[in-house]
Amino acid sequence: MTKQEQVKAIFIEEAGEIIEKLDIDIIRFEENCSDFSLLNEIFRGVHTLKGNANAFNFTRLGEFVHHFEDVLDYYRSTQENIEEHNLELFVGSVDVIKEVMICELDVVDTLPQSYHVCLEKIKNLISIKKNIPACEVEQKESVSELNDLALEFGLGCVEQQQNFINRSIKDAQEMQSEGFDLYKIDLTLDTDCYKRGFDYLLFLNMLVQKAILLESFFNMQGIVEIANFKSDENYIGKVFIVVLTSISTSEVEEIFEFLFDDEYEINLIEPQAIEVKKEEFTKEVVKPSVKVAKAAPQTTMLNVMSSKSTIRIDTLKLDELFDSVGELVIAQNFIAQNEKISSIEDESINRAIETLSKITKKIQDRVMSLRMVAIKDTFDKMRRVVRDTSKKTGKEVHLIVEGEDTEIDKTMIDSLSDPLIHIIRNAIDHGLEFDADERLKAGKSTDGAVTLKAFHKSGSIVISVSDDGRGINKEKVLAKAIERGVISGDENLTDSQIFALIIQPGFSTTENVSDLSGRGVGLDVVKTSIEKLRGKVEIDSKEGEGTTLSMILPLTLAIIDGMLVRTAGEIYIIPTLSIVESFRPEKEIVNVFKEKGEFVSLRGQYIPIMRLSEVFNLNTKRIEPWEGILVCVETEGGRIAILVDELVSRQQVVIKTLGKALSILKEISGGAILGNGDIALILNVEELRPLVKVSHV
Amino acid sequence: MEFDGDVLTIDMSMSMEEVTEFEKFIRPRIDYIKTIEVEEDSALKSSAFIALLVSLKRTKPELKIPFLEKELLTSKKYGSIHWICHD
Repeated sequence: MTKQEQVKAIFIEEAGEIIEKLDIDIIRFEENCSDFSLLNEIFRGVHTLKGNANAFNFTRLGEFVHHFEDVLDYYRSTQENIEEHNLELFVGSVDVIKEVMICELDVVDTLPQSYHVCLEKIKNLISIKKNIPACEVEQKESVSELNDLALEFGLGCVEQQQNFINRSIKDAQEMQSEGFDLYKIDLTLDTDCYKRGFDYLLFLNMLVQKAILLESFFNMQGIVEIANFKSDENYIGKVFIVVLTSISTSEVEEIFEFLFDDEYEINLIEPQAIEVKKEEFTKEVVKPSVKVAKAAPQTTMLNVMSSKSTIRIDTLKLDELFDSVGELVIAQNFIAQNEKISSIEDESINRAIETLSKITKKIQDRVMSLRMVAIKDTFDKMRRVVRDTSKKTGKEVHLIVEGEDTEIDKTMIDSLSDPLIHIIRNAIDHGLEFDADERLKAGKSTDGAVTLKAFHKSGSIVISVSDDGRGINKEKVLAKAIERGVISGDENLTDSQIFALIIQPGFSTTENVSDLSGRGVGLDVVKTSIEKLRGKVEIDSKEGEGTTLSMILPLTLAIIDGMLVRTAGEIYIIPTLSIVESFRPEKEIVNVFKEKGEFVSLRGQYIPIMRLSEVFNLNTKRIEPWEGILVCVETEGGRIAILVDELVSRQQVVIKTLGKALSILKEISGGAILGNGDIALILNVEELRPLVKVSHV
Repeated sequence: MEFDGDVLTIDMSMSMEEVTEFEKFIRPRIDYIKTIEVEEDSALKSSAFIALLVSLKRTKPELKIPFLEKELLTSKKYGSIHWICHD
């Protein structure tokens, strides 16, 4: 990848983050349109996007965000109430930005129709607000800007010139936070500066290294016509620089130390001390070359700030690091459990091994935490889903969010959005009552509520979506399942098993198929996606009160909490998330049905027994079920009892993929290296079920 | 540098020496040029480049230089540079 491509990749990533944040912020602003600090934040995002888009020649995106920025700027500076239809326009504009960004990246010539429609509306809005004809918006804007600049640079109006710079300073101040100082630097290089080896650009380039904002204003007033022009002489009389940077005043001064004293002036700007209103501008706010006390930092952190205070690391590198730490843990376990080493009676060696163990654990925990991110952003995105679905269905819905700081593996976060969107749409479209009247009749408030919750439970992460709607009608579900042939009707299903039927492929009890849900595929997608993450879906519902759909996920995809079991001398790992219970059965509760295999009768339910040694064709002496241990696991098709010789231990293991050769073994989902260096296979319990069907049905 | 009829296309990344060469080249030809297009694929190297374009525009106001009309150049190397080129 060339340097330019690398920069472009960074831009694309940053732009993606800005757009993602815009999407969330615009919905938050729609909910509270008097929050002008939020509007400021949206404006800054659009402003940054504009600069970046133009820098990479994404002109169509640049043009759109330029006008959108103008509208936002109008409202943030006037603090005028925003009409509802204009709020809708703002939300639509963010949608357009998302679409145009894709067009720019894919170099698609044709823009979506919404681009032109939305841009036209924005221009009209500007023309109404600024009282200029729509067709002249662009022209007038540039002319007025030109005139402003003319006044500042050309006509020498000192007050207006300072005000123009002040606008930039004000923007910078809004971005300022702890650890960053804002400077206004006036550069007045001599005509012979090029010959001395200086150029304004040289200083800009040095300043930009540690800056999070750098704007400069070149005064071109002194440039002469070509007849008198000499390229090697400097005619740019003055350059004003506004820079927000992490470097100190003395470090800034160092940058200019080779210039003459009268060629530069560095001013440290006091945080949040400047008013930009033209008539209120005062010179006192800028204190030349005087170190001023830092004001309390602003609490609002911006994208641009966080991008500079953190380091971007390719997730592949993180994965490699994680793998290496996994190897380290294995090596450390090997040392700790090695009989030869432990037989050495030397206190210093034992102490060193103990220290190694502690440090290894600490490293493992820290590396693990690098992969963990709060689920907040994903939850924030759902506000938009709730808003759009609410508008489409005409149902008033409140979204309640709980546990948004719960951390989850980054890899999983990316895969959670789609399932959550499906579930939320489904909850609003089908879970909630048809209209307000139906809710009132049921003794509920007219507005429905959808609760999005994340929390830890027994070493897993649970993400649930609850609605306070109609709840699931079990009889209706059963009837539909029988009609569709999903079940025969003879089964004695528990409530949770009945509810689980609604996430079977092609299952839908709704009579109406909408564009939101009801096609019978949505919840199936949820199930498949969650299972890919080695999680499971549980549904709980009470008719008339509502439904909760919970996604239970492992803490991370890299480590699994497993039960180590032994059979025929081999160790296998059963994910504890699937285990319901384990027990040694009494002889009386084990039944053998001719040609149908063995079953254990547990609390009135017959659970098929599956011999692990037989699944893997292990050569061993056949034991009776009551001589071994049955590990009862929950699978999609129901519970099964896995017969093993003994339970070894429960521990967290680092998952290793097995490679192509072993991937054909569907009963195995991966492998893990144990402390003693042995390899154990991790069972895929869902794939064990078909074998039972073969032997039991 | 490329001529296409009366449109001259130049690269923004001219060094000081190249700007001087360009100045010598364009000085006698300014009457025949209607538009100067600036390719922004690579980074600006000298502020004299912008100064020269402003000088050309000042000499021949009807000359179209879309790059100058933007009055803004944003780059990772120099941040945002604003300028104004009219009298």
